[in-house]
Amino acid sequence: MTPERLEVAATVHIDIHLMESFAHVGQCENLDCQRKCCVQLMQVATHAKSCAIVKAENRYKCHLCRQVLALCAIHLENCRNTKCFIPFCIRYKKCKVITNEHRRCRNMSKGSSFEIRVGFSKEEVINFRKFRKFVYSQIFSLKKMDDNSSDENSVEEWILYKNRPEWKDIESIPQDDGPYPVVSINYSERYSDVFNYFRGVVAKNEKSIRVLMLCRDALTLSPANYTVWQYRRLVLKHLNSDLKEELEYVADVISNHSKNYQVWHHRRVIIEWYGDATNELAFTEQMLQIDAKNYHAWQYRQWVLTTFKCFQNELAFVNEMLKNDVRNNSVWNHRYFILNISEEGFSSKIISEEINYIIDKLQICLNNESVWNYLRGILLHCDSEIIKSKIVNFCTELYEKDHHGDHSVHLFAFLADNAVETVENKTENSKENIKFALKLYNDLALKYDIIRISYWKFIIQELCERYSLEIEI
Amino acid sequence: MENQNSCKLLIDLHIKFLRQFLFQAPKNFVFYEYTRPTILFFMISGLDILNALNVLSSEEKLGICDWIYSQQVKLKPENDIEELRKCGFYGSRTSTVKDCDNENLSQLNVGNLAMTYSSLCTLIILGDDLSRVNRINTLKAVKYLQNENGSFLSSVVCGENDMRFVYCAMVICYILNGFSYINIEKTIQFISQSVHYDGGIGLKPNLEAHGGSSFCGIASLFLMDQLETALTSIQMKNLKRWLIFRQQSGFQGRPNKDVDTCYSFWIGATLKIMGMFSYVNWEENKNSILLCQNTITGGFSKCSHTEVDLLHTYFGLYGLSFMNITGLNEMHSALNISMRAYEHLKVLHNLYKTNSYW
Ligand SMILES: [Zn+2]
Repeated sequence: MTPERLEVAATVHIDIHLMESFAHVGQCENLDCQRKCCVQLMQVATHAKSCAIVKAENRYKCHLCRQVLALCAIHLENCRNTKCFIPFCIRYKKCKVITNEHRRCRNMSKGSSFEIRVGFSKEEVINFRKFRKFVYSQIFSLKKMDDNSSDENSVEEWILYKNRPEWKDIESIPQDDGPYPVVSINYSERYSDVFNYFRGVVAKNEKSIRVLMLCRDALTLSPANYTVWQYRRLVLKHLNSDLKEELEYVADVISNHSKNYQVWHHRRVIIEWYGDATNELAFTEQMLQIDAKNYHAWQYRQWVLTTFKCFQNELAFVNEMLKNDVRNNSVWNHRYFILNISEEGFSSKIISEEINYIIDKLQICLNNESVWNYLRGILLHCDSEIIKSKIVNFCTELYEKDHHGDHSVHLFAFLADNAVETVENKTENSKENIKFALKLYNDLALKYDIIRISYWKFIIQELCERYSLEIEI
Repeated sequence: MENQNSCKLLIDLHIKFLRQFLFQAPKNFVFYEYTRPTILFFMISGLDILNALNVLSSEEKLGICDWIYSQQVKLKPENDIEELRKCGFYGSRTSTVKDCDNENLSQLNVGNLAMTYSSLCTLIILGDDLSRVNRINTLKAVKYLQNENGSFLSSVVCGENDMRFVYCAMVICYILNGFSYINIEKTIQFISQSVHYDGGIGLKPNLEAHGGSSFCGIASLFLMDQLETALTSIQMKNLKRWLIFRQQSGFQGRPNKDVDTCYSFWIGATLKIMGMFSYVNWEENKNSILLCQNTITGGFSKCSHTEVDLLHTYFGLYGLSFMNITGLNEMHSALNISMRAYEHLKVLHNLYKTNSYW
């Protein structure tokens, strides 16, 4: 079975049928069992076993293992077979005991505690809990939805505003959902309480330090609530607050909710007031370390760069980012952006340097759409045939060498498109070029890019019609 | 694995999934509190995709319409530009209180293009005649929210302005027959400036091309009837290539990113508008979406190992509807509503035109 097939086998949703097959795998002692489920699941399970041996702490990150362990966790609930073959089954049975520390001491008859301690790191136990949570979320997501949200589960004791003497002067104003509420949310007591007092202070138009605290509590419960953010800004402005402190606060919120438009917008407004963006590049860099493709972070970084004109070191930053991940499309986009707004622009010197850079990166990874797209972007500005021929020659060479193994779809597409373009610009012998392009498109359609067969056929047809050729596919 | 069960669309289960929180939603929906009209739209339009609006009684439908209208910004006597920009529909009820005319509180209830957009679409889907919409003021809000560069602000308080709100503004103008209120040339210019070197369209000029913003841009041009003229033939050709290349099995939103259910809608719909959807590999796309179907709870997830949510359920179903699947209604590819709802809108347009209301 190919890795792709394995992946598909493992990602099929956890349903009853799958659980049954899984149980069978656990009991089946016949190593040559030809039952389909047995063959496939055994292979998936074997992967999980060997993968886990290599590095236990990476198990949660491995997509394939995650599926298997999820299955294990459900299976575990029902499996009473002490000889069960399912990887982790026995181990997690013990693991479960560990999570119930107190009962374990009482109930465990055999002296296997030593084994348990050897068998399970603390991390494994934590991971197991995560898996269980994941499994339950899959199956019981409806039930789970009514549980407390995690932000309310903090250990410290929470005192409701209505029980705080210092808030006695504020009227608690309930929200009105109208006579026929729709998508009416079953707010927690804490949520209603905080927002009742939020309305209370807004009604009084109070703008004070304690209101900032109240907003903070409200935003913890509902971080995207733009009404609260807006009021918070009004208060900050009114109090002439310390913006440095606010920046720290919003940094904290962003790192927890980095895909929320409101928080990034809030930061932007605060920086506009503050007038100093010295730390902003470092800040976005931090956020990009968490998620290197975060659209908000890149957008924010572009805003900082253009507003405060601080792109001196930006190309070095991009180079570093591409060293980490040459396939990160956001970074390639950023590279283009920097060159585009730079004073020099796309001079022939820059273009020539970029072509060399592209060739470098293609040698690391040929099947990387981001570079090929970037190349097209650079060539938009290139009117030197000499520079252009450099990359075309490089590609042609690759193509001629590459008669076996790793055929890059993008290489084929680039050469084919290029051949057509030279004809359209009437720079070269048409017939030969069109023929060459047709051959490449054909190869893509029938051999190397089969998923897009209809599209490539469409391209071929269009090309043939334009040059009144017979279509032969 | 030939698991028959995972390849079948479980229509009844999805109806249940979409219906279950329509009136009473659990605690963790507070994260959607600020955008209840959007959540409502996913549920209602999702039921419409499943041809299941009949699970709602006419009383319930009317109740929902009343609720939507209760979120329409009330007219102030003074009609200066700053006040008009606040018109339309709002999302959060955080500052809605009973029998209270508190000036400070009502100042926080301001319209938002995304909420106005979802509200209007939901009203049409439910068969409302839009007679209670304050049409002129809503359109004036759109007009005054347009920026110098052609883009639109989401609202006076949010500060966001990008392709998403261009799309919302275009749908509002389309539904309310009000393109004369906005600057069409500037809007087109903003969209064409956001066309990227790789062929796709970004949320703004210079930003990375993205499946969502490509849809917003192209659907906007289509709704303005400018698709054939706004972009050059080379731009169109490159965009088609970029879109087609997003298919991996299902679709990804950007090059070198993972496949995600919702892009079967964003990219699929864009290809559909451009007359290119027949070149998609339907089988792969279909299987990829169905892998994200939760066969126990109903609903769809972003990818096969994450939790189901309303957005991906809605767009997963929408994406499937493009492939002639039995049981799913035919959907309009630019308006984000069913063809059935679109026909209703056409009837309204005719009605209001002949009575010269609009
Ligand atoms: Zn998605």
